[in-house]
Amino acid sequence: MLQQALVNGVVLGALFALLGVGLTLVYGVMDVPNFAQAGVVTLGAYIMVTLHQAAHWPFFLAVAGGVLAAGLISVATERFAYRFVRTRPLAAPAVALGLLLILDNSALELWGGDHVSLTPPYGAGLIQLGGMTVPAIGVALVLTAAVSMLLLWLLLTRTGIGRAIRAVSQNPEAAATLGIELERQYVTAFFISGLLAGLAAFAYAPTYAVFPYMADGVIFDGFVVVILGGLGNVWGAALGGILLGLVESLSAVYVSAAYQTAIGFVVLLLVIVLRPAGLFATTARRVA
Amino acid sequence: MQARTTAKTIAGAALGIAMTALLATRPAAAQDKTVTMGAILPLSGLFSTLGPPERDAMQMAVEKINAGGGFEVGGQKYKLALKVLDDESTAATVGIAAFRQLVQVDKVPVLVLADNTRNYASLLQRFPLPLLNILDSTYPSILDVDKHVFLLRSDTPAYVPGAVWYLANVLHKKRIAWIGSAADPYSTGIETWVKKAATEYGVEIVADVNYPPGTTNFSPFIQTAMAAKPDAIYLGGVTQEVLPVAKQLFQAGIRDLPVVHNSGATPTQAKQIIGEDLYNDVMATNYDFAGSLPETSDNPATKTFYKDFLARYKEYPDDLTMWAYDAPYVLIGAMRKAGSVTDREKIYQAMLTQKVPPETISGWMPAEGGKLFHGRDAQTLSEGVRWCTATKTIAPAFLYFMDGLKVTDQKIIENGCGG
Repeated sequence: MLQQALVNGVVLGALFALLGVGLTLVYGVMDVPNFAQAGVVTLGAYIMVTLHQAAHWPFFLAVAGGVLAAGLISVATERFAYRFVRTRPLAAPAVALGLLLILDNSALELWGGDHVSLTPPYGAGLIQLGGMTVPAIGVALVLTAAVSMLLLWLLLTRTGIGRAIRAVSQNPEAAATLGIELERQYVTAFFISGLLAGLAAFAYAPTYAVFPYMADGVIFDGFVVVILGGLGNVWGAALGGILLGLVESLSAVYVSAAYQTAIGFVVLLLVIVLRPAGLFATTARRVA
Repeated sequence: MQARTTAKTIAGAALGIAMTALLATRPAAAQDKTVTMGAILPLSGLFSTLGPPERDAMQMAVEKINAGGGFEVGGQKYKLALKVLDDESTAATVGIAAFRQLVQVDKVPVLVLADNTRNYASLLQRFPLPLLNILDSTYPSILDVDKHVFLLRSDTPAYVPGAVWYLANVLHKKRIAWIGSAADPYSTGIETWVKKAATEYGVEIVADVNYPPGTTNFSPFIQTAMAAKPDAIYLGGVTQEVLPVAKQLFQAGIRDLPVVHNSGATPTQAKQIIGEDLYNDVMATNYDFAGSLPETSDNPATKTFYKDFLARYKEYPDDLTMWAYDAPYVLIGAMRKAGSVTDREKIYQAMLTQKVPPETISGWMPAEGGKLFHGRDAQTLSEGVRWCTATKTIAPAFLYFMDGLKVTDQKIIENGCGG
């Protein structure tokens, strides 16, 4: 029972981490609570379904198309909306919520309200792990999250693009003085965040269904993760995701399944009270 | 000469205009007027599997009625029109606006509803009109919402206990794990009757979990349910709630326990929601208990409806579509008996006592004196169906009628998939 709950928690946590890392990356460079990320996840999932089922693309090619499209949609949100409120942070949450409504309702208009399915070739697979049965889609979710975060870490720490993003995150004025083009870093951060949203769609959609509001609930868990990990802290978000997944899974089994989400928010409140900068906060603001 | 020709032309034109005007203003009694039937259905949102087939079935009936010359009330010929508004599965806001539009602005004589009937209670008190519900069998019954509410289907107690009886006596399962939706009154109503039936038939509810609204990851609930070592799973809720849980049960490796529900999920919906690659395997252990199905009916008219609907919409018609198809005939029957197409009170009174309209296809079990409604509830046989993996469709497994918690008129079909 405990082992199964831990495995479930890690799978759930991997999803939260995937969402949280994308959110914290954008928050790190632009101070925007990007609620619209849920809409990007949804559109990415629909594009995958359409490419696979209507255009008959091979599954993984359709996924690649959906992930790339999610990246571009995320960039569009920055170009057509967020950049106009960059100097007005109080307006950003309202813009983010408005964008979420636009993206969700675009999905409703384009694909209708019916639930549809994105089923990977391994959708029925089961993996035996130390006496436990783990769904193959759960393993795929954990692997997707792990590989994505490793690649993101390499990008942020070992490449010029990553160094530029980190510099903008820590001090945009100083970064600009050093010749770093701020606009390009904003666009890059949103593109990476969109790719992560697309990967979240690929990992999340097969477990439930694709519909216009599919990520609106789970995105709040993503924000809990961001706050747990410390705003703008990528590794904090990853660890926060796993922590929240474990807390929700264990509390569902040992306290009450009906209150699993509520217990996650109780943990959030405790962190806000006891460690306001997040569990993994450092003295310097960072996105790596 | 030219003047005379011009005069003739003018006179001819004037005659033509006069004739046209005369034809246009001929007595109203000689023309077919139109009666509009209003409906509020969930065409999008969480319950969107339910609304579109109901709309399509009603539209089929309306077209058939009009193709046959319409209908006559008080010596006047009428055509029937259908106006459907989408409540977007949010009855409390969009549904209320739709009610006002249809009842106050369009002044429909009768309103057809699918779900969330309690949401309209105060409006019904202010604007009373006959309200035909073709779906909402939540418990406690919606018939207590207002005296104007009619239920064009059997209520929850008429089919849920039969599912538990089947589990106990046919599948010989005695340990049920319940997984339901805490926020859906349909699910909580089913739960109530599953528990009552379990007590009656000697079945133990070994796990009772209800997930909160918005849940998409059911693994903790599945884990809690499975920890009690059940020999069957009972899922509460509508199609879009039940099928994702069934899918995650399968994905978690639970593939040999019967999964029972009252969703009325069609093969089309299963394929769409679960996915083409998985749905046949996921549904293999599923049993669904609700109203009787058009496919299994002996009535030629019902069989024709089944074939026509399937051919036209490429979707398997279920019990709901059959009841929806009958709704326009029930309305016309009441208006004929009332002698009015506008007087809502007269139509309501006529609805209470009208007999089963002969054109209907649902196989209604008449009340005393051949009346359609038992009080305000129209009833049919209930039916349990099982999944057939060879044909990727459903087949009858159990036909029954409930007298309280006693199963009557039972017929167990052993070889439904093969027959």
